[in-house]
Amino acid sequence: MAADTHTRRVALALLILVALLALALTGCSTERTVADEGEFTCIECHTDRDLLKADLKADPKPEKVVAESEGEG
Amino acid sequence: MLVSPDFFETTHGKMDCRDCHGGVKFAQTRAEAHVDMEPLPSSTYAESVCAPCHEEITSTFATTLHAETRGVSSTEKSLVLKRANPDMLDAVKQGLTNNCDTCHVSGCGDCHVSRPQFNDGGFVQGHVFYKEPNSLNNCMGCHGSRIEKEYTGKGESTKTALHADVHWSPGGMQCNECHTVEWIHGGDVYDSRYESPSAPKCADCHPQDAKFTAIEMHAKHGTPESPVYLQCQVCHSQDYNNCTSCHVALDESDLPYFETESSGFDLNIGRNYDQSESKPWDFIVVRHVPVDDGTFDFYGENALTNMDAAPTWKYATPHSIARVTRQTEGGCSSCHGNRDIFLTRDDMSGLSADEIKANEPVVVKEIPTEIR
Repeated sequence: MAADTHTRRVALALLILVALLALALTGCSTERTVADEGEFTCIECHTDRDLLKADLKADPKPEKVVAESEGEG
Repeated sequence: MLVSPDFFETTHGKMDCRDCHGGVKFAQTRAEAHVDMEPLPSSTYAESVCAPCHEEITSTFATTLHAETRGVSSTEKSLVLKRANPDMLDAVKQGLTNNCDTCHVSGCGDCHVSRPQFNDGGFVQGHVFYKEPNSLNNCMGCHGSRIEKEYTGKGESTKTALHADVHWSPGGMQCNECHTVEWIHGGDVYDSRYESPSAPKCADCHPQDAKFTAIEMHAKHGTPESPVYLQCQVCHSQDYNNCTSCHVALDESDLPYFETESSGFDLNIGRNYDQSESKPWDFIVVRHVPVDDGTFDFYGENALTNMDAAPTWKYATPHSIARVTRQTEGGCSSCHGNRDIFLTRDDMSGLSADEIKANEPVVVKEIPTEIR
């Protein structure tokens, strides 16, 4: 009985391990918060207001060109 | 785009950004990180980024009016096609495509992440996803000229002081409390918002029971058994927005624009020209819609020669509800004997013969007699 329980636990642990491995390999991993040396993470840039402001100043978004309408649409 | 740290505590925030947005995973530079990046994944890849977890609502959304705006701008189903000159259908369809078809939701994100792209977007909660659209930022981001002004009391009328719809203030009711998820994501396909079986009805919250009919005016005008049955809004709507004469065109850079001649808050009671099981009333409130025979002149003269095909004073459900309005505060004489509050031939002055003919079924010919 005890051996049965032990086998089941090992099988379950293996199953979870395989699932996590598959998840990581397919790219469905959690977003990394800290970059490796010389790399960027999305979070590092997109949560830094000052960095984004400076970036926008240096590289302004193209102005959206629309025609002027008159009255209520 | 600035993302709130709160986002990373949510279910969507636990995913890899690239799962939805694409881009390059181990980038060394900013430019490299953004290669093949999609800023609005739900507008382009809803089937692959939203549907795996939200399959049902993603599939039903594709056929909703928010996605397709069928009755308004579809080159197959737009109501304006009824008014078109059969020889000029292509011109009208071109105008619909260029000028009218831009007004639809670009993707799931327009209601559940950011303000609509139609209005230049912008996160509502720092990229945190939310189940229920935000009335001010999402719904009124597009429905501004009529709904927002009426519902929040921003309109002005020369005939009466206007206040916010009672459901908004003091009610505090958000749009989705009446316009339910069943209506928006229910999967029913229909050409007009009024045809949906899930469309909101006053009686959903205000049943026509004994308490309701104990009010004298409700007994006289508020139930199918009443001698004259009125749409609720006939008594309980404040003035609402009406527009005239919209013209659409492209400017010298081929960018679409429109011009409406005028707009203003008023209220008109008309005959119910389209009685049905869901619209059983004898009288309804009618709103002037801005189409006229020159609307598509830019795309071809005489494009709308069948202006008599449908009324231009149309069935309306204004969002300006109040218990006391200029129709109720004076008792019976607010309407009985009051020509000004009804749509009459006098209101047709200046309109073309065809447009006058179109509104014949709506115009009230005999004003209810004054009650002394």
